[in-house]
Amino acid sequence: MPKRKADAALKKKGEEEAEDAAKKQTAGGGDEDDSEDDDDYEGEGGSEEGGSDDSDGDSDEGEGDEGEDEDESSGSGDSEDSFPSASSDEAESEDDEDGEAYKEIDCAFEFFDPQDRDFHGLRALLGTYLDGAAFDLSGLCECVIAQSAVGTVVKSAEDDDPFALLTAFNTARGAAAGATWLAELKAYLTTSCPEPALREKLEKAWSGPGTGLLVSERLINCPPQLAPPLLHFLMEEIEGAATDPAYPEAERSEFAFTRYLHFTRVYSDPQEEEGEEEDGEEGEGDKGAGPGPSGSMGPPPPKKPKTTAGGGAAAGAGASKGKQQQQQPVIVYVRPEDEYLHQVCSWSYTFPVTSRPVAKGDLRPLRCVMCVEAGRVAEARAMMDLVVGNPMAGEEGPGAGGAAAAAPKQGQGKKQEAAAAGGRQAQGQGQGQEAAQAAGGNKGAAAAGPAGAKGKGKAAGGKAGGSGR
Amino acid sequence: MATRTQFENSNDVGVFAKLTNAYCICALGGAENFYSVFEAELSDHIPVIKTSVAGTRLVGRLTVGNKNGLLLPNTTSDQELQHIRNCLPDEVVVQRIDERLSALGNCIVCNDYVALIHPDIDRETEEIVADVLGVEVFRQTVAGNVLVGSYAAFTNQGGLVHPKTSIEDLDELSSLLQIPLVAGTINRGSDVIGAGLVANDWTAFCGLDTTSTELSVIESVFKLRDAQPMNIVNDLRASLIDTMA
Repeated sequence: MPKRKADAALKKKGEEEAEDAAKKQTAGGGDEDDSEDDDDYEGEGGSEEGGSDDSDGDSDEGEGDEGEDEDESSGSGDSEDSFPSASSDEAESEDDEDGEAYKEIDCAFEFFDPQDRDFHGLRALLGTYLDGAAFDLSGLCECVIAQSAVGTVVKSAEDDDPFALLTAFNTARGAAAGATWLAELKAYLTTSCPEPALREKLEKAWSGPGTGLLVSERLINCPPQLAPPLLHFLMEEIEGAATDPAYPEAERSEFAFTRYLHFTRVYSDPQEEEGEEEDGEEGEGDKGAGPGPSGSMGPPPPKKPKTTAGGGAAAGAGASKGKQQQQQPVIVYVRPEDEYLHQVCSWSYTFPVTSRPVAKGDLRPLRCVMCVEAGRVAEARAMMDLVVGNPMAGEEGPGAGGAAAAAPKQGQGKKQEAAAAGGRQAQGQGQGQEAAQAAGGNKGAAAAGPAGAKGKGKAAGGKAGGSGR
Repeated sequence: MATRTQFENSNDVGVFAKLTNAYCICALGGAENFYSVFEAELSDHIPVIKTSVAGTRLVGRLTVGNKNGLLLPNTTSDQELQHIRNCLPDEVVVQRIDERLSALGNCIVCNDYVALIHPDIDRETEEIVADVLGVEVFRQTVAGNVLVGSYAAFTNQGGLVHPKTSIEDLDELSSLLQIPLVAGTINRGSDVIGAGLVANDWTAFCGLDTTSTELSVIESVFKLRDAQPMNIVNDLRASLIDTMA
């Protein structure tokens, strides 16, 4: 993923996000009504095979698509709740000097609880979770869907397949703890771990109480602006589940996480490594598989001129480098939160993905496992928010957290409510409903903007393609 | 008898395999499990070959065939074409065709007597299909979808189509094809029948997630139970309560 494109794309995404053409009134409510009577076997309607995910993802990321729509600025009432990014909303849809590659299209991203209708989409998204190794994928998807208290998927419309997923499971207790997929995942991580010392740490962390495994998957090239709200919702829901008195104590303690295990995808830049060999530079604060605690507080040291992946402080989610030790790969983070979580983690390791061939000179795919103390997540999030921007900022706070976290507990029957609030539904557990109504607006509000115009959003994107040159 | 299997975590068996009454083609790569499941069931009766098509594993979606012939897209390489020709019996005519809609498996669906094709397929291709496969060709849609090969699967005994096919469409297709048709799902609610399932006159393969209900529908519409000298009741019971087994 060439860095320059990522930078430019990031800038454009900032403008794109103001897609809540909520200003355009549509009978968006119609969308919510369809479906759902426990008809589990109803096909996914709109999108069929997982392939459509890719095409959606592609078009949404504006790769070579044309965006003619004016950016109807997010001046609508709930602008701080709606999804557009922090950058200003110029009605800009002109070409970059590079032409086609940098045209904008507008997209709306909405955040939902995982539901049964997402089963096939989640299967498509999580299919390569263990890099081609066979595992109980359906079991994983079912666990994601069953855990209504915690977990978020990002879709462009309720009927679509998810682009991104972020959820957390307790590795030692709760419904997921005994699951086949969890055992298979643990085995995979253990065998891929390069050092016995780390293996022990992994084992200890896994079996200890209060460890949350973050299951995070995203389509390639998802805009970095998705990450802060995703993390925001996750942390809010975890906190809510852990403290909500409406839950029994046993359930609450399941979500009282003291540390998180984060298993994610990063890349290494082979050109950097070659450039590395002649400088006997000792990296301070390794970011890789060192036995000691890894993670540094300071900014990366100035790089040798050969550096291609320049430190993109402004670019945020663009390429950024890890520390340099002779044997450490230069890590390129494709998800913004990874970089900052890695900086604050207690230990981590990476291992290469061998299941697909990589062209010479391309970035090499790696998987990274890191353990982050719960207390340090806020630090990482703050750093990330500074760089990427967080439209949800200002809604944090224990009170808001507690109330908002109960948000997803609306029953499916309350769809209309959710529709009004922005299409956020959950499989009902009927708990904390009064808070839910109020807070339903909160979490769903991220989608409130485009709620009325979900269909419109897609149409706008489509129209853009059609009416373009 | 219908069998559940997976190709590398994917339930879409019909993407990675093509099954007819005379041969079976499987995709390369993936664990050997997939290939050996087919081999175990079929190799006593018909050749089971492993190949790629156009360098991809999507053999089920790129090719179409029946006992008379096999059609390959123009992106198939010469080596692949040669390999397939060598492995298949001589009675099966293997031909590479030039067609803009190169995912032949998505655009054409056939049994040994009749074929349905995508409404936009060239006239020339239609003639080749009629010729090589020895079938009567109809341009049709299934539940309003032009990708007939994706949303329908049928054999000489019966067929399964997209769940949202209306009764009128079902009747019309059924009378064109002269076989019983059922509208249903596969792989736990997926409506992409052609990608989720492969079948011939005596056996069928579907994804691991297929529910027992779906499986019993498949076995009944494709008449797979009758093909086996087994007690029908035993079969039915087995497929309905296998989750407890």
